[in-house]
Amino acid sequence: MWAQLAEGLLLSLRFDVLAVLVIGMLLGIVVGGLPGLTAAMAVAVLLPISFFVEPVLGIPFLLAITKGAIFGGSIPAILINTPGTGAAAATVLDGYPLAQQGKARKALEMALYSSVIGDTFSDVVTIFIAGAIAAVALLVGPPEYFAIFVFSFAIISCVTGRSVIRGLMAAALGLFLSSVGLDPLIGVRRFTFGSVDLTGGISFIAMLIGIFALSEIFLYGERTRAERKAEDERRVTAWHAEGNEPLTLEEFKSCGRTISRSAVVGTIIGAIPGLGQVVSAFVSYGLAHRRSKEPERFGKGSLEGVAAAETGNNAVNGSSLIPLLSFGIPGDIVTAVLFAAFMVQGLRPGPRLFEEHGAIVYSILIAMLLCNALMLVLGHFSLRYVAMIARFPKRAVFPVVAAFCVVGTYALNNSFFDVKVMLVFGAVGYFLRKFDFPVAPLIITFILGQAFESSLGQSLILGDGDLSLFVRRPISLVFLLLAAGFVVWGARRRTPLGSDE
Amino acid sequence: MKRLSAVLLIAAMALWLAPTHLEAAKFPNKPVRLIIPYSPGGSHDAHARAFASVMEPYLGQPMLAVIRAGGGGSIGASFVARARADGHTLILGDQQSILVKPLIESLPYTSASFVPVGRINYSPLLITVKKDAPWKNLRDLIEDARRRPGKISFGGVPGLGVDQIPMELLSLKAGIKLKFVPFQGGGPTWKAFLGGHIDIAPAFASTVTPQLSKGNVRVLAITAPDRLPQLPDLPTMKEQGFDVQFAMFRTVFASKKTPADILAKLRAAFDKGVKDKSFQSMVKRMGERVIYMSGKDFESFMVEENANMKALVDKLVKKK
Repeated sequence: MWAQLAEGLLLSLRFDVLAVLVIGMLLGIVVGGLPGLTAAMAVAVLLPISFFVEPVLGIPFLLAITKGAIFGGSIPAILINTPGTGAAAATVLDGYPLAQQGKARKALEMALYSSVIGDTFSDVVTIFIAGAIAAVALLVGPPEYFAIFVFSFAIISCVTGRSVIRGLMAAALGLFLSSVGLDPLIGVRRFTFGSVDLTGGISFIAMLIGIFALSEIFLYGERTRAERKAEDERRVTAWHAEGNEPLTLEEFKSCGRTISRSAVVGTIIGAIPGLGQVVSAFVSYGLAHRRSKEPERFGKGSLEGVAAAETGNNAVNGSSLIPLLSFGIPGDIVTAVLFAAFMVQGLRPGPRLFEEHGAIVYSILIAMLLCNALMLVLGHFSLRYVAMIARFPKRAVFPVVAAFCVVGTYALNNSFFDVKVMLVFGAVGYFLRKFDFPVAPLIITFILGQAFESSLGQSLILGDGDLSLFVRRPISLVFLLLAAGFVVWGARRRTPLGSDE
Repeated sequence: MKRLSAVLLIAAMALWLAPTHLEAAKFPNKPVRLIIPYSPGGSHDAHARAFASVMEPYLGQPMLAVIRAGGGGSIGASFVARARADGHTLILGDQQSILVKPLIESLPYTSASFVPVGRINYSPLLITVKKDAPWKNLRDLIEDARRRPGKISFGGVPGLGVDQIPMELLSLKAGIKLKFVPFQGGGPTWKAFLGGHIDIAPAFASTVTPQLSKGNVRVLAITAPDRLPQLPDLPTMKEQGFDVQFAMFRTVFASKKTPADILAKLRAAFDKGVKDKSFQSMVKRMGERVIYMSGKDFESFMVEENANMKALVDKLVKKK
């Protein structure tokens, strides 16, 4: 392994590899930063480039786009309350309040440093112990998936929002919305009202943009002119009071435990196909909230919250390659596209990949580490300027955001139907926030709903309808007990917490 | 380098490409879209993108691979069936999206809404079990399944996906009952299979080969009529006494209403494109090979295959 690693290092330390990484990453940051354009879309469109160049150039290029996009998604999340990608949905919860308090730069820098740390940890784990992790990930079968989903739902319903009951209601709504379209078990159409467009279900990105960005604009729109003016002045004053201060070492250190925990959580979640960045971000966020010394600040502008979400989602990046490289099993759309890139290059994922093409595979993994270093440098020098967007008056920013919402949503599938979905969810988001329902549980149950239903159905088919399957299998039992623990803890929580605002 | 810049140009255009309503005499007068009716990744996507990347010199316009996934391929197929039949919107289809879906559900299209431009290849499935499974060949499996009906499980895509079809055909032929566990694609099926959560995985050669060469899995049968040249040791189902044949085709279709002269141009460009050296080598590196069939020949094959699928759907629906 060491010889191959050294050879891989030589392969990747080339000027053209570095150039490709920088280009890919910048492209990724732009794509991730524009709501509606996703990493998956960019990677899929640019995939053919990798067919015609060497694998040590083409595949790192695609990886750099992904990494850039996952980080880039946090920028609009913090500045304009719009997650640029699904992965940044948890970053909104604390990032946007921080920006409103004049701390946009601190939030962005925390996002950058925690992203880089999470990603690097995950990459190192992937390089050194991919084999062992892959073997454990295979043990996760349908009943285990079911229990992990229940756990994710419980953790996020119980830590966000004013009360557990509101969280659970939002979670139930998300679960219901996820059932629109083809059912995952036998392919029957549900709640489609005869529309072919709805057969594919409600578009996640369109819903996300509506719920976060558009509803924010609606809320802004209902205020009186004087209120709006006062708010803009307050934000400018806050901005000047904070003076675009960078993140301090103490602030960073205080999140050390959160970052380490989230890095581990994200890496494990990444290694299990089908969970992904969104789950990792929310689970990390929930755990950070539970363990924090200042849980009351979560949802109102906690740097710890940003650190947890961003470490969590980026820590998925490296380890999501583990099932791909070991078994040829892609865990999400991005890794599925990478799978195609590997295949066309003749690098067939599987147990012999490292034996036959060790040096090339290691060079790709090393390029991922280089990418993190480049991101750190790039972000470090540019974020102070990016943060200035938070100072602009909302009356100038929001029309631009509204335009981006429509254009970005249309660009998803070149379909006007998605734009309508986005508008409807703008209204849904408006009412949820008006009545103090947290949106995070809705998002997580929506994105996992189909997989949740699948895992339940598969378990019941495999166990011939025997429900005791879930408690007879140890991994599944542990997660179900943890989920129950969170609900009990959440219900007994004395101090009411702030909502998502 | 020229090709790279062409691809970048395509990428940029994909972001704003909107239907133009200029009726021009010459076809093609704008980029041709090849719709992929499934999610990104996997063999279908890779084939489509590889094919689109070599087509420009033969078409005279770039070919863009565009994803319209969902509904077991029916969303992409509906899109193509309803698009203007001017030859600028094509689909890379298979049995499920083109033939099976309209037989099961009421959709804005039927298989007769499409006309084949040409077949790139077809892939049989490998009936794969773990190396510690008790069955050495197909007959063992079937005898065991007769003893324990509904206990032996296999995974696949629900709604008669291409991995479920051959297993259902076999079950009907052999009069056995297997337990079908639905998964959202070949990747999740394969993972559950390797983890020991299901007994049998019907999978493509490109998926199975790496594990097979390590000796981790055993292939009981392939669903092709003849043995595969790259894996000559694997017996067919027919050899073992069960006359079941099925292979997923990857065929480019246009709308049935496409004018004859445009269809002729598309077919001519397709014939050159599949023979392109770099396309052939890309397909080969994926672990597949190009098995070309002209659009004309495919028409009669399609009628026959549609009858097979209809018979299968009728039997499965009656059973319920």
